[in-house]
Amino acid sequence: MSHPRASTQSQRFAQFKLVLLGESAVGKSSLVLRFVKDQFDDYRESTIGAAFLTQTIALDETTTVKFEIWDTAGQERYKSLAPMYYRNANCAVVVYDITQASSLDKAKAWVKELQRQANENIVIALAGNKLDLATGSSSKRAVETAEAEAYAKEAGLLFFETSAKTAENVKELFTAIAKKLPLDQQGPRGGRPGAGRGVDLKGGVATQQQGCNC
Amino acid sequence: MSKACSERSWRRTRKRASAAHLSKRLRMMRRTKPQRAKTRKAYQKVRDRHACSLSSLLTCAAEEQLVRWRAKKKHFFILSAAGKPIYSRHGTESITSSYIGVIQAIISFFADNGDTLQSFESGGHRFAVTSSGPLYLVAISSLGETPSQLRAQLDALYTQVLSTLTLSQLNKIFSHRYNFDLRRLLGGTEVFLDGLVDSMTRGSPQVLLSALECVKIRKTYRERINNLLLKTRSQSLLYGLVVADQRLVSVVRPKRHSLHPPDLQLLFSMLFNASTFRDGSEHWTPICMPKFNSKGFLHAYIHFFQPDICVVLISADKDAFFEMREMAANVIAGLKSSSLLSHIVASIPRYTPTDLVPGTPIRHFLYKSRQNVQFTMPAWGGHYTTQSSRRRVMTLYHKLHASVHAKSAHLKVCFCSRKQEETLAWVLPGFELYVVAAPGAKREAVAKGAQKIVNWVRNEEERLFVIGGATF
Repeated sequence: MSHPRASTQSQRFAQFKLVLLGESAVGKSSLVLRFVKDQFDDYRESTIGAAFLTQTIALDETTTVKFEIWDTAGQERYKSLAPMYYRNANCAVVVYDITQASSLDKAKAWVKELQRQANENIVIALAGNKLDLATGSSSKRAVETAEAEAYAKEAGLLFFETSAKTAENVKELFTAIAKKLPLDQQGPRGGRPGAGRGVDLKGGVATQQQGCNC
Repeated sequence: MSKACSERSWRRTRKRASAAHLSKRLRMMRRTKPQRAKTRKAYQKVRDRHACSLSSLLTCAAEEQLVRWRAKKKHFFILSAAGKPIYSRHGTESITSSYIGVIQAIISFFADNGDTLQSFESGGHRFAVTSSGPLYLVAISSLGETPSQLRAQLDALYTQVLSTLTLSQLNKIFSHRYNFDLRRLLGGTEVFLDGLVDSMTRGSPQVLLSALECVKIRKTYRERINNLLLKTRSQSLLYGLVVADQRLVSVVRPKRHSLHPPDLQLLFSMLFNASTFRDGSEHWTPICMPKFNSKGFLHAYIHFFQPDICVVLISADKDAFFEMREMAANVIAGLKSSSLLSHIVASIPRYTPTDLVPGTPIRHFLYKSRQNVQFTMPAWGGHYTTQSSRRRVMTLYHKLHASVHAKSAHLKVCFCSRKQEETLAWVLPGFELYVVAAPGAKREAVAKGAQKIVNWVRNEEERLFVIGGATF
């Protein structure tokens, strides 16, 4: 399901579909906004349906990874649409709010659903967001790090506590996912660097979509 | 208006007895400004006296909140037939719940007698009630709209609820569970309800005229945009639109499906009265367009590729995102590579009345083409720069609209002289024109100006309105 593109032996380019899932108001859109635009809004309207964003990161000097991100709405009424977004996903970020214990239960339910229904090689990361609210004496933390970490380990998930507000661990989260994805599965392909790469990429996206969405 | 009143007069007397307790509660809402200032002072005193006691401070805060809530010019409520609160524009649940209880009691009092409560008045407030499916919608306004104007606003609000849930889902939920708390399913869409309600409190010309507005652009440019949409059209496209500043630029649709103005109004309100979709990212969202089909969802690709300009591609296929995305990319590339995008940007600022009729005392107008179910209006201009002055003018338009739409009225032309404006309504089978002019302006001058506006609109018709739209 990954789409590695290599322009030369030394340059690797891969494209992955990522889906964000989790209860409403845990900060999925804020995480994406921090990752994609390095911004944060104190007040954000709820996501309606889903938003689609892309972000490219350089893993190292020779490897570039492009994420196509589905930022889904957390509300109950969109539940039935979720398979549409995770069906072809290579990776998923399941988000909970460390100040809301119930949001971890919801996250666990999503993990279960993904492990049962999604792509069997899907890389799943668990993200406990709103870490900025857990500092100092007035900590609002309701989920202990150790508890979530133990669960993540048991379920085979990547685990990070993040803060979209302060940017803590956000880049690290996505980078860890990129590193865990099977970059070399199909091996590097031939091709020339420069203009040719862009065209090749576009073609890749289009054919893949037809394959997946028809 | 007078006829409508007499129709309800007996109803009102009966209601008075049953709703005595409600009017008592509402008395606070009618307080004048000095009275409210007095109240505030009184609270300040109380607060000073009990400064040390936390609980009394909390009581004060709650009462202040209540005063602020009562001072709102307009309230909208949605409740279920079982009396469960679903939506209120203002106030917290602790404030609104008892009012919603009273409203439900009044509505069901009439329902139990096999009667339908439609509207009543109390002091300066008019109450309108609609019963739509399993929901009751209530508007309370002190801005002087007629009951039928308020009901049109409630219909718009109901359409917004349906767009999130579909009518079949709504009916299904309440047939299974009469007591269901619908807020759970509407979560996140309050911003759309709030945005719509606020636009109606400002006096939405779209809802008043039940018509759409288009940007004024050369016919050839519009045709070129239509052709671009048709050329790039992908297989599962149902409707394709380019929208700028809450006005339609261009639309393509299948020959067999027309596009209904209330559905488009709803879509435009969601796009522009809330910031949800305006973040520059691409969105894919299920939406029910009740006039197209109240039973099911369509799926909309929405992309604001410029702050005020967006492409909306609607499909019946929930998996068509990437297909729509590719089409949108082609449309946007096409707009950018030609001069069309700059023509759209240039078409956003509105014209002024003096552009059309030099030296006219006319300051603003609304022109509705009945045949096209579209309207046009000029920029607000230097006389109406503040929110409150615009709302005042919109209130005048509502009054003019009411006077030519009252059932008993056979008015074609209605002049009305007011302290701050001269107003004119002129209605013919083809159009409705509402005009405000400078105070003291001569009637002949206003009438002449109005005639010139009508002539101008006729000449510019193909630039001002989308006639027919492109089909495939």
